[in-house]
Amino acid sequence: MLSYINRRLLMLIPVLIGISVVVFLVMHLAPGDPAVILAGPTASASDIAAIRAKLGLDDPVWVQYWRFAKGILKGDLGVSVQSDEPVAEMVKTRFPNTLALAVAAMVVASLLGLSAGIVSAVKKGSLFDSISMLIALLGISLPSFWIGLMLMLAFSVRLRWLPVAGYSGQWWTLAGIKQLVLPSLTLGIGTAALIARITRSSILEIMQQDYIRTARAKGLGQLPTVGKHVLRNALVPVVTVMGLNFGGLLGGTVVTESVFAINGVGRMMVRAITSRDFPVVQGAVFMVATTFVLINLFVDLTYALLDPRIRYD
Amino acid sequence: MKLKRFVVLVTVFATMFLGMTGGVLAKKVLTYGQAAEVAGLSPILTNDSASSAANAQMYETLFTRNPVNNMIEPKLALSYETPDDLTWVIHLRKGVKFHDGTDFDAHAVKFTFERLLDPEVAAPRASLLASIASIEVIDDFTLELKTHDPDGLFLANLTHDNSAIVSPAAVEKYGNLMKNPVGTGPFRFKQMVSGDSITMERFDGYWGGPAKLDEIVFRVIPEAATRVAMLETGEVDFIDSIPGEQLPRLEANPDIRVVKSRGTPVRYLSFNFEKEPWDNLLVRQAVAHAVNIDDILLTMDGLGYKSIGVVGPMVFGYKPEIEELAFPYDLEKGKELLAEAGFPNGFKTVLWTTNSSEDYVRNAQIIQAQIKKIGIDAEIKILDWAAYLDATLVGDTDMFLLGWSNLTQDGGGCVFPNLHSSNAGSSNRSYYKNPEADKLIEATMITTDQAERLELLHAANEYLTKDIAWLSLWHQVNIIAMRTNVSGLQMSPVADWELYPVDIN
Amino acid sequence: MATESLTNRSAVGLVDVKAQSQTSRAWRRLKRDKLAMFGLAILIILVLTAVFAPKIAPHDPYEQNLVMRFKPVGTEGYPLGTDGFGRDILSRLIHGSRISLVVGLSSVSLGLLFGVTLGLIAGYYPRMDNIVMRAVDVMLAFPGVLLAIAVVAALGPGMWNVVVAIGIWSIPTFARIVRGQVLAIKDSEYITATQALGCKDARILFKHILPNCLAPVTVYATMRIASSIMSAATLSFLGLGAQPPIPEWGAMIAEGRSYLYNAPHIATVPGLAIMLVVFAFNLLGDGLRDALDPNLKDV
Repeated sequence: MLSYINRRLLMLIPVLIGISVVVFLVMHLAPGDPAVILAGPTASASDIAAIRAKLGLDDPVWVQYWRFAKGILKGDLGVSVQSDEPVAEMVKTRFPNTLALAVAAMVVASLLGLSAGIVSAVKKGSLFDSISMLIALLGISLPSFWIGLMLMLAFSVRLRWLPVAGYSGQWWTLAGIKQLVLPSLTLGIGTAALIARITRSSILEIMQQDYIRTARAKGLGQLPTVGKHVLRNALVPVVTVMGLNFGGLLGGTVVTESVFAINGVGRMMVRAITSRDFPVVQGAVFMVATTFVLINLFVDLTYALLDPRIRYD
Repeated sequence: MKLKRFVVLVTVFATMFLGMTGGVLAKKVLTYGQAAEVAGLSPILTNDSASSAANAQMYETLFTRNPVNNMIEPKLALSYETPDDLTWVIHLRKGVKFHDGTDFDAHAVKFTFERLLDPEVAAPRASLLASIASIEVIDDFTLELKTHDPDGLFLANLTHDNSAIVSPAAVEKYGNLMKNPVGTGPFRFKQMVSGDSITMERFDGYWGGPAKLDEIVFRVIPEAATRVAMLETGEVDFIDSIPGEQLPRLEANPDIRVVKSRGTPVRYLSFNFEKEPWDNLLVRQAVAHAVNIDDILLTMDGLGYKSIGVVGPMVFGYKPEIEELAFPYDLEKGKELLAEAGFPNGFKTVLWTTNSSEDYVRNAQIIQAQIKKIGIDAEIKILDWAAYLDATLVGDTDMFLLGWSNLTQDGGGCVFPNLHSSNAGSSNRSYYKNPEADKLIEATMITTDQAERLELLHAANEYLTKDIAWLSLWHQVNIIAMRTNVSGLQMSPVADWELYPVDIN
Repeated sequence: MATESLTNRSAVGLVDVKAQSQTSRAWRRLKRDKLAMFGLAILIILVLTAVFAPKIAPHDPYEQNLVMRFKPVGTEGYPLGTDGFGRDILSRLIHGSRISLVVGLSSVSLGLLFGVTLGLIAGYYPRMDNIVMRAVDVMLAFPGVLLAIAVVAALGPGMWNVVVAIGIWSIPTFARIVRGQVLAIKDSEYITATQALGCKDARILFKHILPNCLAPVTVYATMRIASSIMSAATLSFLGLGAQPPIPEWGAMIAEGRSYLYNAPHIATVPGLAIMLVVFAFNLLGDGLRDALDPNLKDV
């Protein structure tokens, strides 16, 4: 197990180098000059030249890449062109918000998805099954920005049950939870639908297995069978999907964050991309990508806990 | 007895509690829903409108525009004289304190201006003070500034947010003021959550007397619909940057007051003069007759007003006579002019625009449909703001849409950067190079007599409008919306506002 | 020589027969699935609409009529209302169906082309496996929307760049599916036998291994078209999609979004259209999975 983790961590190195090169190149190939943006439309040629010189944008691309790579090796992600703020600090302020949103969305998705999936599987062919699976399929088919705007219109503007937007960063308070309800629904509804479908089909598949039939034949009731034997095994693919989607949720907060005015990493990156704030894009994508890869590793490791047959050597 | 003591105790606690909450409630906090994120809180190192809005509450300039009559008035300055065309002697206000307790004086002004001009600092708006040759401190409250050439725009540039005076001691202490702003304004910095909000509190040592509000909060809310919804629910107290389509909803709400006023920003259709056929006046005239400005304004839902001049009605240098030059909507005339220019069957071209705001895309779509009627088949090309600034700078464009905010409110600050040949390739994005126009523009720059400048600017405006150096589509109607309990909020023509006189009940 | 080509032909024949019977069995199963058939019907209508768009559309989708701005659903002559320029939403929707289909199909084709090739290489050549899969990891490590935004920032907005951005996004998943499938059958006796007979790698890969990957790839591709259409809409929502006035559905939503409160139909109508089409693709994908996946055939 330990050697497996070591190997996986080692494999992270080429992946991270690849990520840094790709991000760097994409940003530097994009038309648009950070100095021109910073100077604004009113700037004179000399204003722009002075800023370019200060930012080191006149150096060859490989010199600039080496500067960036050297910084990362020293644990320094650089400084924002726009705000002169260290990128690491910018991420540190925003990451907890994005994480809270993604976790809340995952909680919503799991609660809705698992319960709908289990009930549908147990009552296969019932009206509940058909309706909930149809809703699940619709849930996957809805654009999330659309859901967000609709939820806001209904629950905040018309009914006034929940705040329109904003997040204080305090998920442990009632106000914080209220602020997270709509954004996490918006973000989590697609994943909920996915989890419901996977849970259902996974349970149905396991129920076909001989040992379950045996258990049933021995007179074990439907519910205890599902509870004791099926669920544990059926959860393996569900956890995979949850893990993969959690990474996706972390990256997918972009739209939700801008609709609900949440100060997260996704919104920061979109802003950085549009203002060609190279250090922020590079540093932040690098951090998010690393988190993403680590989550995948964590997911792989949890398989072992759920399914003792899986070994890592 | 026990009961009595209990009652007394409860009463005491209740009074204390009520007193406390009363104290908390009495604190006047105003929340502003801001569309864009602030880049930083140093007037020297920033040049975005979001930063300017926050900085305008904490820093002050030497001169300012009166929000009602637009005349330049002293602010941190008391008075000035001009012994000759190259010399400006400025007397400063006494008894002004920076938020860090240090005194405002001539040394602080010299420090600020030199920092703004320092190539090492690379200030985005260094060009504001580019005409300065020397800065001399005569005494603690008198400065003598010399310019290279006579500069008719000098005072107007000193009203610009980016030439606000900063505390030298604070710059010394923090390196720069991006996160530690220290100025002389009525509010001082309290806290910033990067990307989310900025909180400022009343500065009791303000030279004009303390402000009415205890605290002001700027909250970033990028989505317009969200901003409007939050104003409706009272989560914010006032907002600006309101899309026209949201207006009817706000105007119908009895808890909300919408204030509109004519502003200085202009949106125009421009041409790349280095590319055929745009160097041909006949083609530009054909376009001007084919573009129906009334229809464009219809789709603006009240966010724009009409004026044909390059220099608009709220900008110094405007005279109403300019409107006689308007190009009436006339498709036949447009077709004739195109034929005369050698394009009887029209031609294909590209109309460049940006998605930095909705109206850029909308204006492009309607213009595309309008000029198609005289045979000009334009493909719309939309770039994000970064790529757009770049494309227009290097002159990749054909026809393109741009705006200019006229922050100095002086026509010279509009025509010189945009249409003088010396700025082609930087702020002159249409590469308009016309010796005749250059002469007229220069004349407005080197005269310091304001009455004379008005005539000179009008002459330049007339020439540029006739020559269609650009086609002005609309000038901006500034709009703010606030909860009805907010009073004293006034917007200047450049869409700035000060929270100093504002109160909330 | 003669023996070799003979063996080959018979081997190919075998696969063909097998594939054919598999396909027809799957089709029979699919036909029994009412929901999948419903999805298929919607998609056939969609394709017909796209093909005959200029004949069906009542108006020119680009024609502006400022007197008729913001007319609601059910207005005479404009059954689905008009937008902020007075353009007929139904006509725009009909013409837009072409674009949504093209974006969905071509971005998935792009992902298929590269993803399947990479998957085959990684699965078949153990030495390439590590390199390819690390490259796939790099791609997977980028949050999808951000990758697409960055690509569009680099290439500039526009429909074909969106296709590239979204296509890239589906490469890694295709690669993984195919690689897994290849690994599973590579060591089967049948492939080993073909190898022993001196058959070239390319031939083995494309004639013998690839057909066996088709089932999972088809299922995933169908679902992927759905999500690609939605991703394109999301990019348009962020202002990075097709160039106006092209009536792409996502761009229509983005334009209508600001009128959500006073003329909600402008965004709602294309929103529902996207939902319906994505739903149809998902229904079909579901049906295909059940029909092609033997594990679930009796469930």
